[in-house]
Amino acid sequence: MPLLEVKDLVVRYPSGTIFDRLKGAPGEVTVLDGVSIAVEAGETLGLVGESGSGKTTLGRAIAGLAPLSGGKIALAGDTVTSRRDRAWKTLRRNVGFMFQDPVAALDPRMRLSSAITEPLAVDAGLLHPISGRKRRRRARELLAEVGLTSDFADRFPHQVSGGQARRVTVARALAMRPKLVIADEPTAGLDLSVQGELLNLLNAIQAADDISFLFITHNLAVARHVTHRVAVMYLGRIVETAPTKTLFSDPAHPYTHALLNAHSPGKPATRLKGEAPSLKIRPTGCEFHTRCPIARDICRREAPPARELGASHTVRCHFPRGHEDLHVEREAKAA
Amino acid sequence: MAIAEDRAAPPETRRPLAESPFAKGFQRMVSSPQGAIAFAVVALLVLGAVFAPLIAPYDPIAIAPRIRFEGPSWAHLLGTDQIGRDLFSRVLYGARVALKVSLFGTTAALSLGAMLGIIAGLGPRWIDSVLVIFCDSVRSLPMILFALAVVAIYGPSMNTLIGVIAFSMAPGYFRVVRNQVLVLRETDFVTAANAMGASRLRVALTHLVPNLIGPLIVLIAMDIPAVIGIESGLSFLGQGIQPPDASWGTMLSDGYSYIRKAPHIAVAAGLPVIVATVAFTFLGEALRDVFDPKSGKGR
Amino acid sequence: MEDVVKIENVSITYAGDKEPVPAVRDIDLAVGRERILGLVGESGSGKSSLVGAMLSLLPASSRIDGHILIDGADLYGLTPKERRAMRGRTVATVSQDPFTALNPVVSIGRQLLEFQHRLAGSRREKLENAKKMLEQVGIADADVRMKQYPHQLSGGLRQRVAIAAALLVRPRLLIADEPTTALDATTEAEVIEIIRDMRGAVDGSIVFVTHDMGVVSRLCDDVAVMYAGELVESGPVAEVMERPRHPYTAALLACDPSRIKTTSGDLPTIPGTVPKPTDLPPGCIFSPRCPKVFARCRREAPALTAAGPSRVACHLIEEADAAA
Repeated sequence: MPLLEVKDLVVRYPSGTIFDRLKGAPGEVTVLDGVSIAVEAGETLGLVGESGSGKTTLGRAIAGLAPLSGGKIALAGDTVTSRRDRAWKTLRRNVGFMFQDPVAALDPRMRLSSAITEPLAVDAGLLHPISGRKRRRRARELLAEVGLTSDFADRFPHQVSGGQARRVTVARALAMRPKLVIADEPTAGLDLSVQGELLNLLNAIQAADDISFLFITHNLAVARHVTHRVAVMYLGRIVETAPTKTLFSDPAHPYTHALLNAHSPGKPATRLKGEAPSLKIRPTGCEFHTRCPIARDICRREAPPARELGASHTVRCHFPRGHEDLHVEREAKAA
Repeated sequence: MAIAEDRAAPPETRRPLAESPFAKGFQRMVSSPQGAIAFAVVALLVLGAVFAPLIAPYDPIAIAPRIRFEGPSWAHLLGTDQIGRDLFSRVLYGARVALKVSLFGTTAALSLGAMLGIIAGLGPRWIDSVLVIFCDSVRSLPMILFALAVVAIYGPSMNTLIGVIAFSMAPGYFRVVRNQVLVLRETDFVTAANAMGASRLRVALTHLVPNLIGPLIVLIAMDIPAVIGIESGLSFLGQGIQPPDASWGTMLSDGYSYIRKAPHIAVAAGLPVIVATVAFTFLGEALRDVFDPKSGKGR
Repeated sequence: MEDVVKIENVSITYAGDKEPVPAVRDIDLAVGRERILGLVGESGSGKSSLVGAMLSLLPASSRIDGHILIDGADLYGLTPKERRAMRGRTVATVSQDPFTALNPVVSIGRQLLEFQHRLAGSRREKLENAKKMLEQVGIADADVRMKQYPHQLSGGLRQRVAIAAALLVRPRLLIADEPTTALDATTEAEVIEIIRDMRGAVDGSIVFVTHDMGVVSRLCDDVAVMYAGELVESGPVAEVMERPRHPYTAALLACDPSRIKTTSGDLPTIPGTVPKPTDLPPGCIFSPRCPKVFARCRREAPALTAAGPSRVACHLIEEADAAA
């Protein structure tokens, strides 16, 4: 049984003004449309995709920061199906969250010792406050784990650098000894020479404590190095999931292929047609058909189901690359 | 630049107190001449008011018919009024009244406004709408007329005065707090607390209040002159502090009656109002510079 | 071959709080005609300051020493008015955030018209030019876009409009300041391709500021690597990428995860931190972090010396020459 299992998750947000709705615009935007992922214990799952793909929303939903309109999230025996679910309390203990902007994620008026141990204080509850001394001691231990000296405990967020703030948020994410850490673009804004330090730190933490990571990034080069498996998102759906090696060597979905091409040096990039459509006007059939270089009639009509291509390699495409045998089957069915 | 600059941030000193934002803020506030002078004047006013019974040379309501309308002298630093009361002592006791009304008035207004503001900012939409409409209605009332109406019903007294001030100023604080809360609740650090499962009460106590205190202190310092003005004004009109109790307003009223015969009475009563107003305003501005993140380098 | 940009012994000093901050020191660099130069550096490298000086956009309190010659004209020998004229005509720029570069309340077409205000020609000709330029940068329905406002366009489209706007004046020098950092990978690839396609529209050369070595190798002809306010290595892209001679360039390339073939959980880093401009180490600025440091590096700052087709500021070059 995987540590984290997300099944058919749907996240919808209300959208538009009352006037838009009177004009017939839909009252909601579907940001996640039936997303399923699983993360094993001690595994790092990369979640890649471009802006608007819903990867950040998926991370936030697992941390209880998005309304759940359908599906379920199960983590280490706790299952939740709505935002108000009671099981969140226990589920949260096992989840640490790292925000994209580490400085913004720290209260400017809170000393780092308090910030790092905030999860402990929240878990203990307002009626059972943890003493300041205890919190500072725990903060110093956590700081040591992420390679910062204990004098950081008394500092304020504006007194540390971007890279250090990043480490501080790692320390906070580890405070509850979680089984899963969700890292939202953990290398965003870091210089190349510092980026490696942080990734090595995350790797070391995983090796020591067998923590699972959900690693949200748009940087495929980084994903290739630190993830075991990768899930590719496009317009609120997972279009392909595969072991990292397989995904980079044999991408089956045309979108994955285009993403990889855009990043690999030397190769001329295959241009995708146009821009990613808006979530409000979701294309019919396969959501990628408007930009897909190999789209055919069936793609416009029918959304492809998730199909197994091999060991933990699934794809949502009528015509997966390198699996021509499957194409024929679809064509026959369509005819 | 961030990395280069911050890693070289000054090493943590042994004395965390000197690093505390308040000590630093205070240093920065008094570093400008206006701030330093304003702080000194306000401190003097407060000390004078608190220790009035010890400092005042005479009983502020003791009548001495033989020394009416006397000008300033060593015996009576600011002279005496139409019934021979020592003006210096009355100014000190007047400061007591002015500061008491300001302190209790603004504190009550702030507590009420901040509480409602946090409730509106964190609570459901409909509560927010109701509170906003209510507070905007209160804000649209002309303050002095409203105060006169309340005094007409409840009779003039210090408590009525404080009540009126609290009620009419709370919506201003409500507005500021509510808008700030709406901004703060969307920040990543509040979202982070939500991800940890923090209750709204905890978020309010640990994240909202500390981030609200700065702007509110500034607002209070800026509002105190207004409150002093209201107190003096109502007392001047005979609707505030009642004679024979000393208040800058009642003294001004006396001075106004005898402005030709003994102008020093009006001066003795008017100057403290002006000085206190200016001092608190400058203090407010100095504090704003301290709390405004854009004004300082923050390190 | 005549150089479009010549940067001679340029130093930029900011008026700091306590002491002057020498953010850029003694840069010597030239951009040849019809070449694309990649200007590479991490935070604190001074690349933004250098670009600011080329665009004459530095704060008035900063001091610029040396000469910046654009098309033979010394930028800081000109009157402020001439310099402003140059900025709109000879030098054009595409910035990191296309949203701030475009006026949100003016339609695209109108803005593209205004960008040409220093050029001759009728209003109709200019509108026609604008439309053509939009089509050239790969915007299909140019007529529709001209009537739209910036907020109605996606990030990629806005950046394309910004490129079109910059190219409309047929500048001698186009400075692209990290124009792809805010964009998605597929959009980034597109924008880079457009810039490459459009190099003919620039009547001179392009300076492309970035921190991404991958982008440099895909787009640029030459590369200049800056570190802590100094130029450490410059040369043709293929040469620098294949044979990085400065240890910093080598380390930077080694850190790039997209260049590392075999995956591993242990990524290379450059230990230590970039020195502050007010607290520079003696000798070579990279010496405290350099894996190949030796005694001379801590004593004496290396000068930029020719090494093959590259120029490198490192004592190892001289040592190697001496040995040979």
